[in-house]
Amino acid sequence: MSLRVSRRTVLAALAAGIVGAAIGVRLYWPGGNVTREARRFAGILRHPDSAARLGRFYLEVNPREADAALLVRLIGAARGPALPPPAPSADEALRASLETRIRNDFVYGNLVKVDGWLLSLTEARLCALVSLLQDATPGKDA
Amino acid sequence: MIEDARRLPEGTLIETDLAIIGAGAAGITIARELAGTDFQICLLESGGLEFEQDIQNLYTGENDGRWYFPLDKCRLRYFGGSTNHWGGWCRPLTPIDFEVRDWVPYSGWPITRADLDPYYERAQTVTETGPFHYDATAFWEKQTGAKMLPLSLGLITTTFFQYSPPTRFGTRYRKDIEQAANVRALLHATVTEIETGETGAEVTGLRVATLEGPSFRVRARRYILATGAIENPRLLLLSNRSQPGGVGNTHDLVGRFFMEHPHVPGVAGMVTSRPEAFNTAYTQHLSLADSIVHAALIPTDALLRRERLLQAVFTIGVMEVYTTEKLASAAPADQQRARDIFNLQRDLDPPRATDHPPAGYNDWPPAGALGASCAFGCACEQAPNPDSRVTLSEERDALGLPRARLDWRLSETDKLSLNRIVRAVAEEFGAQSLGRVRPALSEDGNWPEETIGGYHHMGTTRMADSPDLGVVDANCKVHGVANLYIAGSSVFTTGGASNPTLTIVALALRLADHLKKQSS
Repeated sequence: MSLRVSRRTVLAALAAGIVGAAIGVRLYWPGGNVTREARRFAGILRHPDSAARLGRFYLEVNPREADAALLVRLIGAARGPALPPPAPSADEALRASLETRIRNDFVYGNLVKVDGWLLSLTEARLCALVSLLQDATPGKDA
Repeated sequence: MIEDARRLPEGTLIETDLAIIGAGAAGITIARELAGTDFQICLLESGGLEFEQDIQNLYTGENDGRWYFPLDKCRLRYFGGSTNHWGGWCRPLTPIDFEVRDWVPYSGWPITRADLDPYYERAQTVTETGPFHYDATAFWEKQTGAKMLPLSLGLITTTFFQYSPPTRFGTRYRKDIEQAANVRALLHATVTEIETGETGAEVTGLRVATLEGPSFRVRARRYILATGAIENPRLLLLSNRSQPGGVGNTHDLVGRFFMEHPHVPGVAGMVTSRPEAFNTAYTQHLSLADSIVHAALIPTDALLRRERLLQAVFTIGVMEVYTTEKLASAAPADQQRARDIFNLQRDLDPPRATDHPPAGYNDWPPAGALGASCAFGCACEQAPNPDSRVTLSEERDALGLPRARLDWRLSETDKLSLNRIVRAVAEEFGAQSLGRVRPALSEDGNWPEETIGGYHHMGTTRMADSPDLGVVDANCKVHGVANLYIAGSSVFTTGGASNPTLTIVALALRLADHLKKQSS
């Protein structure tokens, strides 16, 4: 699975109106390595196998988001405080920021069905990210 | 006193002030209220003091619409009526339920909740329930010492049911009826016709039969029909000797607007990783000093108004308590998925400080619980629908009377409203990290086949100021018939999502007061 952001993927996402949802909201563009950012986000989840199973359901319905860099950006673009830059002590700040995004998803009705469960779009995308990382690393639990 | 009508001489004429047809919650309540007054009352009950199959068979009818319970299984035809198998759930209709809601066709009672409040308070005593507090979260928090769910989006709120023991009116109040000098209760007395004059403007008498005994007549100054929302219209419709459409049916409304509270078993699943947020009142009946309560969830009035929705009420049932994060590998896929959701919540939802109820009160959560898988139970409102109705069947019962035919209908709008409210529950729970919800409903307007009723029959002689819109007026008097009243849930204009018995009793108390005032 490629972790690069392709022009085609971005255009597809735009066409689907996905990025459009972020209008008026600060977009998050990680300055660092995409894989590292994806792993940092995914590292918040302590049960990667559970998350990956849910993530696969999400990607089945939203195949255009099967791109880690896109998912990282979409998660960053959700309503919430700025995500902290990578740093050894930033995990708690990152968790807090993601929690706010998840809460806001519920407040503003940004829900998505994942195998029938109504999840926040942000948490569903986090799960999707975990599944991509797992699938990109055969034989190794992300 | 209580007598057996089978011992009356054939052709007896009983003359009285008030004839009450049906000794269920409404009929017995009215008779008790008027006991000791100047009224001479004849209370006519089709059954005896105990269940009898041949009498019960008189309830047999046809179901012509969506699936519904066999009609003879819905009600009990003996002294005390259906309170003999009542579950005891009590909750008043809410104020908005009485309002004209421009998004609900035919909504709007001619009375308000405030009009009924004094009677609801009295109905608490009759049904042997606690203080008249249902939506007052602060009151119950004080009573239980527990915090209710911190719902914050203004979409869903906590309400409370109270439980009657349940009061079996036939046994609990039998002595009151026996000892009332002005009440003559006749058992095994089935009214077979409401007689009117040629104009139908006044009831002139009742024809009454026993299954294998005498027939007789009752003549009264006033009559109250209190036999339930299927039998009430049935008796009005079949009493068509002088009025071809039946008594009180000038506007072809009798039997129309049959309503139920659609119940969808397991309307949604829910997994929580914060079991401590749900105190005992949400998960089981909670016995307090003077009441038994159960917390439930309802949409806020603001949500109903803003999104033009119908009422609903949800209870929470615990399916499985999670005490570990792991699951047996052989677990079915749905259980595995629920556990995945649980793990996701534990990862994403931070632990919160919770106000724990005092020791000795709280049975929930059980020791070691990390989370739980739950299911929502649901009863919801259906909009009044004139095509959902009770008519007469071609079939006849043992007394030669046409049986009832029920055509229960639900609409797509009813279902879409429920869908939205389930989603609102998901939004509220997610926003407070209380859990994640899995609706079991399709997203369209189709009701699942397993949708059932709650044995709550309502609306078939609905209340309205105008005879164009209702069968009875605000005093439960039949429009255009000077001396005929109706008691019971057939007069409900809309059904809300509350179990009907408390409202039936409140309306019966109100009708009794009205008759007393008229008399004085």
